[in-house]
Amino acid sequence: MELQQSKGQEDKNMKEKNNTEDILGRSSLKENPFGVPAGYFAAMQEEVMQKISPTAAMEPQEEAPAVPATFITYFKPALSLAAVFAIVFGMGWSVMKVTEIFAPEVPLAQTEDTPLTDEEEIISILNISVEDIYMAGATDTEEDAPASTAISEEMIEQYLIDSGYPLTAIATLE
Amino acid sequence: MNIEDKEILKLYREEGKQEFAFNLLVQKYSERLYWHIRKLTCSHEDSNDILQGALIKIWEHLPAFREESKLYTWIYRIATNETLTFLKKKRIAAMFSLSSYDSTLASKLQSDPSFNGDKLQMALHKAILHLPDKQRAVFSLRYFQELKYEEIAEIMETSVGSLKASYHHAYKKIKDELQEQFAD
Repeated sequence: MELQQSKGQEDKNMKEKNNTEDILGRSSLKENPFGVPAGYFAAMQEEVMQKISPTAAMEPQEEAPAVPATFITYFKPALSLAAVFAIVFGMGWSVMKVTEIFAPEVPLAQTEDTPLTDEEEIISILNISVEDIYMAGATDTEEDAPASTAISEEMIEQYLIDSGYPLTAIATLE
Repeated sequence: MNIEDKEILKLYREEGKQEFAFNLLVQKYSERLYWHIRKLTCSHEDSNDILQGALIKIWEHLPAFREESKLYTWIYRIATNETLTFLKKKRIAAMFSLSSYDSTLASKLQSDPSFNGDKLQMALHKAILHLPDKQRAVFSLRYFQELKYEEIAEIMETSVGSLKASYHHAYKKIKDELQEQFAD
């Protein structure tokens, strides 16, 4: 019985030993498992040496092939500018046209001649211009003053008759 | 390539022999640097780009090398920094595309036709990808390149103490991950 117990303990110790064995101590783990393409190191070293070599840097670089000069080559900037102006003008014109199309229509009544006011009617009948009236008002001299009010009573009377005022009313004015 | 670093530097300082000396340096270190970078990136194309960039940087800065550190630790430092910068950029780019760069690397590794290792090796390299970038570099330099802690400290510009802690932490994480998969 005791022998069996000690054997069991030994097995347990062995298992523990295996578990605690330093797995990282295995030499196979230190071997390199990675690979590189064939001839990589030689090619890489050559590439690095080419990169650092000043003679390589001083080698004349291939010049860019010359582009043949054409009409477009010379006038491209001017054409571009003209195109921009044309686009801007076109856009402005379009906006104007669109606003014109969609603008609300003015009622016909507003476009007709508005009826004259009484004062305007009087002025038109008397055949005097607005300037005359203003000029008359602007003068301060006594000589000119009567000229501005040179409307005779007969003319007023005639106007009232023409306007359809009753004669009785006109008589009372006198 | 058995030429000593000192001889390479001596040649480099002779007039008109800079390119020749640098060529010797490239021949001596390019392969080692490549494998170091490849273990961090898992991609041949990325490793090639990083390595070429690092070698050109070495060429550009070699005139200013004052021999305050060993030539090979200086070279390794440039290559490691270039790789860490590359990984950082990729991680940021992956963040913007709402993906994980670690899972991208893992799938690259899984589908890499040039990978000739067994299941355990595959598991090891996948576990390495789970480490933070700097810890991954420390682990790679110590475990695969078998550099001394002092040399790694010089490369990573850190103290030996923090480096040892970082390496043991990485080692334990990977060991636990592998034992979880390969316990039986």
